[in-house]
This record gives sequence, C-alpha cells and structure tokens, in this order.
Amino acid sequence: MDISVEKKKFESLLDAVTTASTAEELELSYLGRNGLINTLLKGMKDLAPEKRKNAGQDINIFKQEVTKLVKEKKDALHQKEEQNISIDVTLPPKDISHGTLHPITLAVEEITSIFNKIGFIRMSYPEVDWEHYAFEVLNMPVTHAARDDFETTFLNGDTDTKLGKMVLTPHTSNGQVREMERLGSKPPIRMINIGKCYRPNWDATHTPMFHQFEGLCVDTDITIANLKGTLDYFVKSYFGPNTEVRLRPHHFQFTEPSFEVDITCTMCKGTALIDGHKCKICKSGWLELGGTGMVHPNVLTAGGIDPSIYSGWAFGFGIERVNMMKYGIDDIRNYYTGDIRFLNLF
Amino acid sequence: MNIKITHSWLLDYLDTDATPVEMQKYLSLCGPSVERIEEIGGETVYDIEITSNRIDTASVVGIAREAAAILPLFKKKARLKKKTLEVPVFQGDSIEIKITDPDGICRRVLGVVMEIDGVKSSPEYISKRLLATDTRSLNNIVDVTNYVMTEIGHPTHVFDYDRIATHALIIRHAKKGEEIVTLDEKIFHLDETDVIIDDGTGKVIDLPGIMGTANSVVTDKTKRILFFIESNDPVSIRRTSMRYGIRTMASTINEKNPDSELAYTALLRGIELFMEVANAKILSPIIDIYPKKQQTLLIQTSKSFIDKKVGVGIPLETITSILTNLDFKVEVKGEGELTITVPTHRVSDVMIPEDIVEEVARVYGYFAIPTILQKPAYVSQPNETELLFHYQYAVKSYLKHRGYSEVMNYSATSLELLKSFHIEKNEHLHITNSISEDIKYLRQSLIPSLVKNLKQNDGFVSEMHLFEIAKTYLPKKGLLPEEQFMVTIAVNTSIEELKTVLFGLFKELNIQATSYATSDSYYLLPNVQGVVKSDSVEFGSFGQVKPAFCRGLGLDKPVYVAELYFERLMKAARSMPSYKAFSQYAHITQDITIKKTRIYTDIEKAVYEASKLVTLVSVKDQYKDTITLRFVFTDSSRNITEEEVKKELEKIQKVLL
Repeated sequence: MDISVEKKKFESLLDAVTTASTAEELELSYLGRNGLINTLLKGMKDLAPEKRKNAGQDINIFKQEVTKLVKEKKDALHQKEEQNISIDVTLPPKDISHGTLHPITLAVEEITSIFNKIGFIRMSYPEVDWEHYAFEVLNMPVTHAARDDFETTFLNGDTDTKLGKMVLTPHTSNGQVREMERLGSKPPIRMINIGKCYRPNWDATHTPMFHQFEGLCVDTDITIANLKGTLDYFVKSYFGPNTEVRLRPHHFQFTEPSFEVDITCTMCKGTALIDGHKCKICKSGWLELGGTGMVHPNVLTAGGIDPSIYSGWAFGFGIERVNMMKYGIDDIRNYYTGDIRFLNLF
Repeated sequence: MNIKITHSWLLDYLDTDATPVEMQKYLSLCGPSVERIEEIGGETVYDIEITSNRIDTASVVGIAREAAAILPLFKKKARLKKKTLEVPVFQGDSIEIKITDPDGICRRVLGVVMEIDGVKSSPEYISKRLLATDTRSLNNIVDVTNYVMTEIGHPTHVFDYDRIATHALIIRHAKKGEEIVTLDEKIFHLDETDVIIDDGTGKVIDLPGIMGTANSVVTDKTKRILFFIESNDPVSIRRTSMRYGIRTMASTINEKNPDSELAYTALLRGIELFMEVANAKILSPIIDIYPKKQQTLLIQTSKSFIDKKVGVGIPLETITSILTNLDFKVEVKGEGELTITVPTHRVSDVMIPEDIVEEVARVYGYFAIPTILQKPAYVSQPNETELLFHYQYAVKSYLKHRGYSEVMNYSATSLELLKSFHIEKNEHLHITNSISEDIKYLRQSLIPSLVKNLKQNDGFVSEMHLFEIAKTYLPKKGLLPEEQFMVTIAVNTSIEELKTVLFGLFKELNIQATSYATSDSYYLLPNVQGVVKSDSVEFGSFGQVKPAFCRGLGLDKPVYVAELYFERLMKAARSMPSYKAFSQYAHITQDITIKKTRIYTDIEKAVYEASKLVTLVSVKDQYKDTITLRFVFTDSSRNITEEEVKKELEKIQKVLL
C-alpha cells in the first residue's frame, strides 16, 4: 500500500469538488464508517507485524490531512455559497392579519397599571344606578341642577321608594359610596373605578356615552398635599416626566375644597409657543385635565365613615380627554361609530 | 357661566398696580378663572368663568373683592374701594303703587317709582362698558338695569309705571296654559309652577327674574318708571327658564341664589344712576317686602383643622388676613380656635369648616402646598373583579392578535335596529329623555350592533373581523337591571373562520369545552348554529345570523357571529391547562374514512368512549358525505403494538357505523 498514491488521488478528487454537498460526499467516502481510511486501517491486520507500526502512523497522518483539507474545502465552499444568498427583506409579507384594540381599552390598561403600582385597586360599579348613589349620597339634593332632565339620562325602570329613579350614571362617582359600603365603612380606601358614563350631550366635543376613571382615597390624615402628590405621580407616569400639574379653585358638590386640574400642555411643553407661534392646543401653556377635590364630609357620612376621623380625596377624569391630550385623537365622535377606518388606526 | 367686565370698570372699585395680565394669572390660580383678556372698543375686557357656588363673584364688585384678597399675596397693591350709597329720603304723598306677594313666593321684593326726563341714549361711558361686556345698549333707562346687574351682581327690572293698569303688582303662580308675550315678542303658555306678576286685572305683566313682557316694558314714551327687584326662589327660576329655553343673564344669576341683601345695594345704585342719566325724581317710598332677613352664619374651626386638611402649616395671621379680606369676620381664641362670621353673600356656599379650608387654601395658593404621596395602604381587590379585568384584557388581546378589531358601540340602540331584528321594544329598558332616537333602548345582545357595524363598513374593507365586549342590561322587576358582560365576535367571511377564532379562544383560556348543534338562539339560522358547553356551563352560541335580519339592514352577504357570556368564560378560564405528562412511549397515527352520519361532536365522543388508547382525534379531510378521521394512539406506561392499534380501530369503526 502506498499512501502517497492515495494522497495524490485524494488531492485530485478534492480539486474537482465544486459544491459543499460533493465535498460532503467525498468526506464520507474517506472518513465515513465504510470509507477508505477505515478500509485501510482494517487492512493492517494482513501486514507483517514489523510494518504495521509505520503503516498505522502513515494512515493516521493521511487521515488528519484528509480531515483538514476537506474541512477547509467545505468552509470555503459554504462561505462562497452563503455569499450568493440574497433576499430583499424589505418586501412586505403576504399577509399581516393585524387586529386592533379600541383606544379606550389601551388607555384603560395603562391607567390601571399606573394606579396599581401605588396600591389602588380597580373596581367596577353599575352603569345603571339609583339616583341615591348617583346624586343623593354625593351631596346633590333633588333640587340640584345636575339632576334635571337636561343633565341626566333617566330610564323607564321601576322607581324605588327609598333610592329614587333609575338613571344611566352621569359619572363614575356613583362608585364612591358603593365602595365605602363594600368595605363595611372601614378605610383605608384606594380605588380606581373605570366605567362608561352617560350625559345628554352630543356635539363635536361630547358624545352621550363616554368613559371616566375615578380615583378615591380615604384614610386618616389624607391632605390636599396627598392629592397633589398623587396627581403629580399620575401625570408624570402617563404624560411624561416633564409634565407639571396645577390646581385651580373650582366647585363640585361632592368635594370640598374642589379643584380643576391643569397640566402643562403636551404639545408646547407649557411654553405656549410652537416655533415662535402661539400654541393652538392650549393658548396658555396649560391644558385642563378634569375635576378633583377633597371628599365632602357629607359623602363620607353617607358612606358610614366618620369625617372627624377620616378624610379623603377623589377625582374623575375623562378617558377620551386624556387620549386627546396625549395622542391628539381629537374627534371623539369616531370612538363609538364602529368605523373600521378609525379602528384600524390603532 | 361666564361674565365679562372691563378693567376700567374694575378700577372704580379696586385700587391696584396689577396689570391685566397679572390680574388674569393670579385670579385664575386663587379665585375665579379668567379665561381670556380681550381688547374691545378701547376697553380691556376680562372673560371670567363663574362657578355655580360663587355667584357673589359675578360682578365688578365681586371680582374687585376677590382681587383685593388675592393680589396682596403676590406682593401686588390691592385695596377695595367701598362705595357709600345714599338712601333717598322721600317726603310727601306717594304715587299710587301696591306690590304684594300673598303666597310668600319671593324672599325679597323691592320697588320704587320715579319720574324721568325722557328715554334717550346713555352717557358714553355706560354704553361703551355695556358693549364691551356683550350687552346691547338700548336706552338710558334699560341700560341702567343691565349696568347695575354687571356692577353689583343682582338682576334688576324696570316697568313703565303708566302701563301697569291698576298700579298694582301681585306675585303669584301662573295658571295652567296662561299666555305671555315676552319683550322679544315670543309667546309662551305657562305651567302652574311658573311664577308671574299679575297687574291686578288678571293680566300677566312680567316673568320675574327671567324676562319682562312686551305689555309692561319701557317704551320711547315712558315718563314714569317702576324700578323693581325681586329675590326669587332659585330652583323655580331655573326650571321655568329651562322649560321655555329663556336663558337671560338675569335668569342665569337668579337661579344661582344671589344674596337678597345685595338686592338692596342694587336698588340704591340704580336710583343713583337714574338720577344721573335721567334726572330721576322719586315718587314713592322704597317698598321692601322682606319677611325673613338674610342672616350671617357662624362657623367654629381652628388653625390645626385647616393645617390638617391642607397638609402644611399656614400662619395664623395669614389665615385671618385672607378671611378678613374676603369679608369674613374672624375671632381668635386660645391656640388658634377660630369663630368665623360668614357674610350674607357667602352663606349659601360657606357652611362648614371644610369650606373655610377652601377659602384659606386657595388664596394661600394651591401651588404653595407641597406634593406628597399618601402613606401606602393595602386594600384587597375582590377575586371576581380581578378576574373580570384580567380576562377581559386576555380575551381582547387574543382576538386582536388573531386579526380582530375591537369596536365600542353605544349601550343603547334605536327602535329601528330592534325592528330590523324583529324584536319587541317592550322588553327593553329605555331612556325616557333620550336626546336621540338612535340611542334609546338598552341592549340585551350585542349582535344587532355588530351586524350594523358590518353594514356601515361595507365598502371600506371586504373582509371584516370585529368584536365587542360590553354590558347588556336585563330588566328585573323592582330592581336595577342585571348588567351582564357579553363577548361578541362577528365576521363576514366564513363560519370556518369564526370557529377557528372561537375554539382558539377556549384553548387560550384553557377551557375544555365542546360544541353542540342547537336551534335555540333567536338571532341565528336554526340549522347553522351551535352552543359551546363544558360539563356544567353553557358559554354561549355561534352560527349564521338569520339572513332576514341582515337584509333588514341592507346586508346581502352572510354574517357569522358568536356571543358568549363573559363572566362564565372568566370563571371557567385557567391560566394553566390541567397538567398531564406526555407519554414517553410510541405514538401510532392511523386514518380512517367513514360515512358521516352524525355531527362531529358525537363522533368524537363515541371515539373516546370506544378506545382508551386514543389520545387525539382530528379531522383530516371531508368529501361529500364522507369524513376522514385521524387518530393518535399511545399508552402512558408502555409501547403499544401495531396489532393492538388495529384492534382499537376495529372497535372505533364498529361504534361509528
């Protein structure tokens, strides 16, 4: 057996190889279980014992060479082949079936999670409720203007002698006393109540159904400073870390004191100027967020909570409004028409 | 409501060095919100929002008082210039005038008769100020009433004395259907709850507090006037004014309970102005029917109470000076115990210690209060509520990822839509004062709305996949309706697509459920509908909407929907499937084709009952009335043989014959 002949033969075969797959075939024919190297090794038993040692060494050296050369050839060929792979990855795929969540859903999830982090639990209360929970316990007696036909949506359901007429809730605040009652009038209360609200108003900036998120916090020693702290935390989480918040005096029956909350405009960053021109969104650098205040003692009392021991704050903001402020979704009438051209924007 | 006042007018009552821009900024932060400043006819005009509790600020004097309390905290000079008004002395015989309120309807009625030197145009400063504050300038007499209202904050009225037939005014409730013609020549038929003034002959000569009537107002020929102010019941004013849509500035103020003490100030200021613009001479004593004088109010509170509610210590001197500047009287005892007298113009708003907190804190400045999150507290969320929100989002999220779009419809629908679905309206709760017929009947199923959505979008997109999760409202005798969340899915493509997403949903929620053919759902074609059930729970139905309903909406293509009870899904859902270790041993797959003689659910059930070694049954193919089934056999404890499988297949074939 002359290894050098085999070697030459191998080299010429290797030279002829032009593809990675033929290189693999060649590798198999030499290094495989029934390949030449194994055949040579098996043939050693027929050799004279004194020749076996050298022959063994020669075969091993040959094996190492074959292994090395085949690998080099394969690597080179693979590399060459890979260089030839080319696809325009920017071509769009055939089908991206992409559904959408309603912009209200997206905001609800975000808001819920922000308040969860500071220990507020999301609750759900009826959309159809008695006047008792919608007004009476919120310090709005029967003569209050909000209870007029022009402000509240009444239903034809039975009237309860104690709880009054059935209404579609004009705000999420009907959850306030319901939450106090659920907890057996025992604070602490940390609630976020998100729901649909209804008011007889239908124009470019109002829809007869809208969404509110209501915060309610009742505990010992709750102060205006705490309300400011919570609002500051919320607006920085939701609108961005540079957002500032301010309170202005206002009036609501179920809070005392009552405030209107403004935040620095999300478009002009509170400067009232965009490229040297007056900001069209805010005009003054501030945008109105909604109403808030310290829970009126009559409301605590209605919920069985002693206002001389406990105090609290509450707010109710519109989700359509915060979406408008954050994302610029301005025509809220599109929200509830089911128009696929609008829904597909999200 | 908003009011407009001019800067120059404000300076009649306020001595200040604050500029209009500073005024806007500081007042808005601590008091009434100045929404904008305009320049009108050479006057700087403030447009100010007045909240319903602060009608005392709806005037030049009211804003001056606020400014005098607020501006000093911003280091601005501000002093209220109080005007002393002369009470005219009347001597001699009174002209004939009789004002009565037999039923005691009004809290106060004031009147005085005057002779004037003619109806002409107002002095320039009056007409200019009125125009700048959005009030028409008519003549010297009418202008005084409007001028006094804006300056003092109480509406006033003037009659032509000689047009009041018997020189008597009787305040009474209207008779049902009684007719009036307002000064803008509109005819109204009144209700028994409306308050009117009768001239003693049964004729209505005024809708007091709201608008005058054409038959008694001042004309060009007027020589003698009755200057008249009444303090009426605010609720009655609001209801009458809203009922007929007569929204005047007078009614807007009167419905917010203005101070009846202020009515007297308005009277005196009016007399002063009539003398100035019309050389008025007084012909009668001042008539003042005031059965129950408006009282001040005492509130007991303390510095520590205020500090505790605000969350920061406010110096006692600051507290007392803020309140004093706002016309409160403050008496301090011991360690900050406060006895506070509320002035008459604030008693309808400031009644409890918390109201005092508001007065002090707002002028102190909400911006000066620190920003501190409250101490943490743990409140446990009821498990059902947690599941409700968790799974709502899980379901929405799943459907979105399957290519479905979420819609939100109004909770109420139109009668027309119900009719398209041949539904009786009587069973539905409905809105009694709906502003639109489109949203009147509370939904009991989301299917009609979703079919309507498909119709509305017809033409925009050819293939539609929609869903909605919302409440339905089922009436309950004597109780609130049952509010039940439904999840409803609608497609206009194929039942196959609907089933794919529907069964995928059950898999996503790890609910073992099976579908059965039914014909129970009202909305669906009897032979193309099924229900999805687990052992004990029925989750809802799916199928093809009856084409007759779709045609009713002008929709010709088939619509497939599924409507499920959300709370049932939520209770059955698991975050992990029930765990069963996979078999380490061989799996053998076999197909057979049989004639389909029953629904698939029954086939599947029969297969599992017939063979214990079947772990999976699926449909490989379907052709005409045959169906090719694929079975996977395995045993969790050993390797099974081909012969065993053959025997199992025979068993299966036998039961499926």
